[in-house]
Amino acid sequence: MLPGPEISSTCRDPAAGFLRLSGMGTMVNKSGKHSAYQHSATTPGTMINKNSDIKAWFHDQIKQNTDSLFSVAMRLTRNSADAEDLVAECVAKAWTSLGSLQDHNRFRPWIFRILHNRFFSDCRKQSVRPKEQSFDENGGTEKYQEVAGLLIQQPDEFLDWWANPEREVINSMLGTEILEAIESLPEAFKMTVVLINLEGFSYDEAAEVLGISPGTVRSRMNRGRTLLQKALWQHARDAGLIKDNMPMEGDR
Amino acid sequence: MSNDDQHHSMDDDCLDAMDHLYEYLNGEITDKETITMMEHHLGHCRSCFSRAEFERSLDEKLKKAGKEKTPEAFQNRLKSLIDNF
Repeated sequence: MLPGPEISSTCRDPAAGFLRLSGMGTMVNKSGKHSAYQHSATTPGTMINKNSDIKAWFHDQIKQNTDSLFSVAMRLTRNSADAEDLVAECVAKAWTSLGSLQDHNRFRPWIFRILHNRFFSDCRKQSVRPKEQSFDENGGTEKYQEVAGLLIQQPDEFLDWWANPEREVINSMLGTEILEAIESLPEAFKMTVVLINLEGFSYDEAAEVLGISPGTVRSRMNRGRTLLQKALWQHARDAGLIKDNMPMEGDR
Repeated sequence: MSNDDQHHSMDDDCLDAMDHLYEYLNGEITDKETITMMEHHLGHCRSCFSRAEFERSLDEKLKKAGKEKTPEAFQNRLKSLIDNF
């Protein structure tokens, strides 16, 4: 940690916020005096001290993440008009909150956290909060955090199939069918699977986005993937992709 | 093939490996002992090896399934939004 002046948390100007994190800002220390703050880790060549440069940097970061933000927003909202609105709101919020970005190398998890929080706060406002089932639903009780423990709770038909090479019938499924299965997951598990498996986040980054510990990410991943396979199995069974030796419900 | 055979083939080592499977495939395990345990088990257990291969192929499918291309009109909307900040 750098022995430096305390960062004022009341600054509302995003540019000033960014100046702080780029190492060129004017800081207010505990005694209220202004002092020039030079972050030792900042390379002189990367210093940004003009509003237009900050905006250009911000725009560049957004461009690099737009497809990914839009993809995650699509999984959350399930339609492109709402996904576009969500991303636009997220970008606007990110700009006004830029001062809260403490490490500009962590822009990606930081902005996805804004997207995630925005989605749930919008849902609260509209009282159409999606089913954010507690992890106790559909996945069993909290104590079953491991894959083996989870499997014990699943129906025999699924277990037989999952232990069988015939599970590879999933490989014949279309992208849209797989997306439907992902979207059917309870929100907590869906976001974990989406961030890690679809967007390539590390467990640490996903933890930052979701505001949970990496250990919880790990257990949600284990549970999410088991539930995803169950959803795919149910879909395969309903679509008749699973053959005779796996009895369909009601056949016997 | 009887289902009993399938269940019988799962022992404690298999259950242990399964608990670490997603972490292992996601490159999240830093502890050398656990990595060695996973490699050893997957190298010796045909059932867990084929399950790991299946998970790997599902990972690939998931990666491809989620890729959305941002509509051009929306990219322009974002650009003008940022221009007006």
